[in-house]
Amino acid sequence: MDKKDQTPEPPELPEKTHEDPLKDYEAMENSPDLAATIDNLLKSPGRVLYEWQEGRGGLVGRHLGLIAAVAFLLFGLILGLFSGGTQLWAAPVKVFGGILVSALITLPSLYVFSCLGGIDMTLRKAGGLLLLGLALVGMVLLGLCPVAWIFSQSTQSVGFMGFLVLLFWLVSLCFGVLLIFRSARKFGTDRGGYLVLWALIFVTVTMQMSTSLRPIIGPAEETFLPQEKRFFLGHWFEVMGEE
Amino acid sequence: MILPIRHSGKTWNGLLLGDRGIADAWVESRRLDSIPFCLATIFLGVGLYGASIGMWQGGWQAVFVAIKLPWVIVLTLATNALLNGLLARLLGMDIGLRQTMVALLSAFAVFSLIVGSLFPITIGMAWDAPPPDSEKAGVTHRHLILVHTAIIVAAGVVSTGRLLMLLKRFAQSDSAAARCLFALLAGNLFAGAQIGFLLRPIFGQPGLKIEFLRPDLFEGNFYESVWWALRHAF
Repeated sequence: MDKKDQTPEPPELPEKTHEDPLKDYEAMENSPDLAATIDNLLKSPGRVLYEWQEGRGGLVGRHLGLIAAVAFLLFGLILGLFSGGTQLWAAPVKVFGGILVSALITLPSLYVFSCLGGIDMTLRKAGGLLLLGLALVGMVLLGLCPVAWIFSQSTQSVGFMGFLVLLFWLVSLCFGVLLIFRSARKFGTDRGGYLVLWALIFVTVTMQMSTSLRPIIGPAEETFLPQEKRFFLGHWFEVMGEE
Repeated sequence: MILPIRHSGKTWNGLLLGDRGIADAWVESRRLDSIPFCLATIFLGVGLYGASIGMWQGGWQAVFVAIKLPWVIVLTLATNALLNGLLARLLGMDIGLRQTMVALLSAFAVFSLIVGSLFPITIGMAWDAPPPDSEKAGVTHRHLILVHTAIIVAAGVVSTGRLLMLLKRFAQSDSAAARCLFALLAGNLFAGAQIGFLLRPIFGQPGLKIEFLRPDLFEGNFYESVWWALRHAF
């Protein structure tokens, strides 16, 4: 018998399956009212994205915008409680305004970088992803508000409070950015890590925004906006040195 | 020059994705519609980005750089058009002079879309930096140059990658495409550096007069300046 015939056939390899990043990309079961949008944003974000993209986009967009706006304004209010006075209204306005400006100026690059990575993106889709991500960031920040409030009432140190807020911001941003990644991959594979590069740009822009709109945590009786323009790392090191 | 706005979004999408054969079809086609489209994209994207480079020095410098920066690209391609076409033929490409020009323009259109998409951020960066009459002007100027250089290099690397992909489809072999890419880049960098030097100031120098072109426009060249800088650096 030929040796070749005795060689056992290798078992067939299982078919390679690409896991769907958003398995729940389908219409919402009920009407997408505010409560349903919040519920789905947390449990089944694919449904919210589906509604934005292929269903009742205007309604879902308004709800997501409202969720993000309320959450950022409330988080800003908690930060304002640390110093009180002018900051009670200035901090919410700055937090909301800063995030809005950051989102607007990074939207074109999200669109271009996604396309470069091979994702079939449109400006509308990019806007939807960003809104979805920011709404989730807002929800996570909202969940952290009670903790932030306890610290805002019990500590006097601007440096510590700044560090805590930075930590909260980064944690919530992780959730939002990961959701943007998953949602973007629904429309194609990101080749070359362009989305990661965009996320780095977005994080840097929000960090710089916190320095450009300072003071957000400390007292703002003397100045609403800074007199001197600075890079965020330089400012942070200086505050830490003073502390 | 009319930008077909209704289709520009889809065309830009296709150019950025790089896998829809838009640039291939442009190179293959005998029609010339792609040339005004690419030029409009370059003037828009690089113009906006140029404005953000000049913004730090003030409104006039923003306007000047917005006008000049796209011309650096266009004049470089125009100066090297014949050379690029000849090199492509010589180095094993199945494309002619016009097709080489279209391939290069499509790569620069991708470059323009990348830098154009970052212009809101770089405008913010210029607006938020210490002004040119402040104590930190020198350091800020160096930081801004570094950031802009990094952006231009990154966008250049991506668009060069797209150009290589495109050249491979029209080359007799992959190595021919790589040789051609190297030759085109070398020629364009050599001429482009001098054209950028002629159209200076681009970044500008804090404290110097803001002007559209330097009065000593044709005195010296880029390579003499580099040589002078090297000799005085050590």
